Amino acid sequence: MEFGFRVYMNTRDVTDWVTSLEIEHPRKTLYRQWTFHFAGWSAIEENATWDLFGSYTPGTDPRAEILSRAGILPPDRERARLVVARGEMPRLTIRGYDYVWSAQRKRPRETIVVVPSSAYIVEEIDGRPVLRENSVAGALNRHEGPVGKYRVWTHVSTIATALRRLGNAAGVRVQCRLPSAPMIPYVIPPDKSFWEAILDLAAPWKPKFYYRDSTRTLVIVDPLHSHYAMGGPLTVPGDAVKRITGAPIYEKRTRRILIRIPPCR
Amino acid sequence: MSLNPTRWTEETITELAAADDYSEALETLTIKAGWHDDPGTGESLLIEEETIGVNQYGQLVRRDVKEFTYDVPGTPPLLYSRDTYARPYLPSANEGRGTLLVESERVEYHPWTLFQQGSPNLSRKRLLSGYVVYDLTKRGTALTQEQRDELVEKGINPDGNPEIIVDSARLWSEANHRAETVESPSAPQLAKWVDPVESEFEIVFEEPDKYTIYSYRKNHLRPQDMSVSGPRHQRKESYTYRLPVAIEPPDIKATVQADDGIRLDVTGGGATVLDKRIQPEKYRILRRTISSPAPAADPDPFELYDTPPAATSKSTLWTDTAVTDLDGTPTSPLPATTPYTEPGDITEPDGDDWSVIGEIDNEQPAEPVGFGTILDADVIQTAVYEYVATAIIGSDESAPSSPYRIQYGGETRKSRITAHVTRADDNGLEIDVLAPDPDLYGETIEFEIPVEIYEDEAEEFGEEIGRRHFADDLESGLNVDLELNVPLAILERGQRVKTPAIEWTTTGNGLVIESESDDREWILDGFRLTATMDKTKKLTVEGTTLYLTER
Repeated sequence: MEFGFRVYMNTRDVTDWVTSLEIEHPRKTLYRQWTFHFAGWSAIEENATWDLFGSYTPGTDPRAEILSRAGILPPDRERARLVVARGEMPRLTIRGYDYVWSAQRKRPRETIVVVPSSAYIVEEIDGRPVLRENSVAGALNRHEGPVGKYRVWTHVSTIATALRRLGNAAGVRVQCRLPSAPMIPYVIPPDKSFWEAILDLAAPWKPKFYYRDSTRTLVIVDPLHSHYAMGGPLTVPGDAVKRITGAPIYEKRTRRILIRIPPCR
Repeated sequence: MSLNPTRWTEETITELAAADDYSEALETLTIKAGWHDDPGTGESLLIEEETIGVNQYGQLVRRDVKEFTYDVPGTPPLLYSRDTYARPYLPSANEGRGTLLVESERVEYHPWTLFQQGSPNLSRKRLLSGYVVYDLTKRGTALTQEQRDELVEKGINPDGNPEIIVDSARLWSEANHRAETVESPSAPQLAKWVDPVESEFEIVFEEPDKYTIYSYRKNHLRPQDMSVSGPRHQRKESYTYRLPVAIEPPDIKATVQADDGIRLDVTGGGATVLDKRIQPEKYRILRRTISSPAPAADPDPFELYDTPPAATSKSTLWTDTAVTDLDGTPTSPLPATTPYTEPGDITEPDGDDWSVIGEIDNEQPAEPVGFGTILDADVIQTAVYEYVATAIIGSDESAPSSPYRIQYGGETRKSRITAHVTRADDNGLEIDVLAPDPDLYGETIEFEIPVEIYEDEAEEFGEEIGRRHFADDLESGLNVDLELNVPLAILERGQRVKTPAIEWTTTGNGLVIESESDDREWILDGFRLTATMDKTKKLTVEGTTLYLTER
């Protein structure tokens, strides 16, 4: 079956520079990663976004199928490798990621304080405002570790709201299907990425994640309920199967869970 | 209810020379008897007897009809009656010597039925009735003939009405025997039917330990002829009655106790005798094993590992459909699947036999409904048991109750997540959640969850968290990589993937193996798509690999 790829860098078609290509969605991740073998260094632009398209029939729109949209190269470029030899075409191997990968990047080094309502509850007594409660101070008092500069997110009253705010900060929509749980003031330390903060908050429910690329939505699924994507099952024809490799899933068995719930006030 | 004769016998004795009481010699005596042959006991009971005596002239002298009335076979008679028909001369009653009922005897018996205070058990009452012959007075008067005629004209008997001499009363047979009847209509005698002539009572009062007996006998013709005896006491012999009363079986109900076993509650049972309720003294409980589970696979039978691996996955990727060698003769696939039992296996084999698990006392002997309870701790997880109970009074035991079937292991500590809530020093909560089977190997994980939970909701919250972790961990599954030779681009993680049965035929090691992939639904966990530039300067897809998982 014919399948035509198109690779765009900042809306510029660079397919002719590509000598080989691999797209992979690794297990237990949200993002797709791709590896290009490029002919020539000069083709790469700084901070470019990469779009990968394809089509099954050559005559139609070459961008019919979206393989990866608004992909990025990792800022450190640690996997980029350039080979220049005399008499040969320069070759560049580069690996990029899907847009959702940015949720896993390190975020600006600042502490986030999440409070359920407004940070300060002020009541008027005898015509004079009196501070009833300082949720930020309460959360910071309970927090152990360095704080430094901090940012306050107000009106985060449930775990689902916190997860959505963290996802939005990383640039993805979040659909949370976990049971509702009211939240108390909470401190997200500065050394954790948005993704790690999402994992920390959702880990007690042991959720499953998947990323719906078409709507850029990160779906957090309750493991007790169906965690499948939309649509019916894809039936693979038997003739197309070359080989099957199977391995049993090994996970550490949990015997006991110790849950600590901090005091509300 | 009474028994009827089913068989008749007749005996005739001729040339009988014996003189009868009635001064007439009998020529023939015929005895007809009616018997009841009971098919159950084989006894023959005399029900009716008719005795007919005929004199030498062919005239009936006497006819006795005796009857015994029985209630049911095997018991004493309830009633005896005798009617005597004869043809004696009885002044003013039978002057033409016709055949007449002259004497009648009735005996009522009260057989012992069951002990009952003040009942006429074992009493007897006999009444004899018959014709009695009296002499009459004949008084002389000092009237002249004219005066007598005058009285006769007025319709008055001048001699006055004859009066009965009470003292002269005697039974008809007595008078006949002593030849004291004068066979003349003008003789001053009279015969009257007297009911009763003689009466006899034997009255028995039954008490728990003795009988008290009073006897009366009275001849109604002679007022002085009366005897009273009693009370006489007759002590009962010590004898235990076997009550022919069935003991009702109790009801049994079984409930699974979370920690300890199966609790059995037995209620009711007992017997009712003469409106008196007798409670069971004890209950006996029996058990039968319907099914017991197969011994679980031990992940580390030789204790080689500190943290042994989880039990092997039961998922299969393919099934061998046919195995032959290259000559075509089928060989057995390896490894062999022979069931065996571990040496230290203590699981009891399934059996159909009932076994007694205990006898318990009735805890409420004074209440109208008895009750007893026992805990059966010797039970195995997920085994199915059936219980029955019997009620015991003395040495008698009731029939078993209707069986109660129950499975152990539905709601127990070992099959249920438990959460234990404690209040920490800083007024926070600590929830300790244990897996269904905490004896299994596993790790402890800790969470600090910034949620607002009150103490009464904490246990439920802990179970909610635990259910998501333990349910996933205890399942086994497979990760599968499916290599395809077609490009598949429109893929999304979380998609469901189905592979129809894929068949292979391979040869190796002298064997021909036909196998078939397992037909089931997978979840897409990831994928890989590779393409290279070919000589026509086009990127060509080499293939797609689907990363599938079972869960």
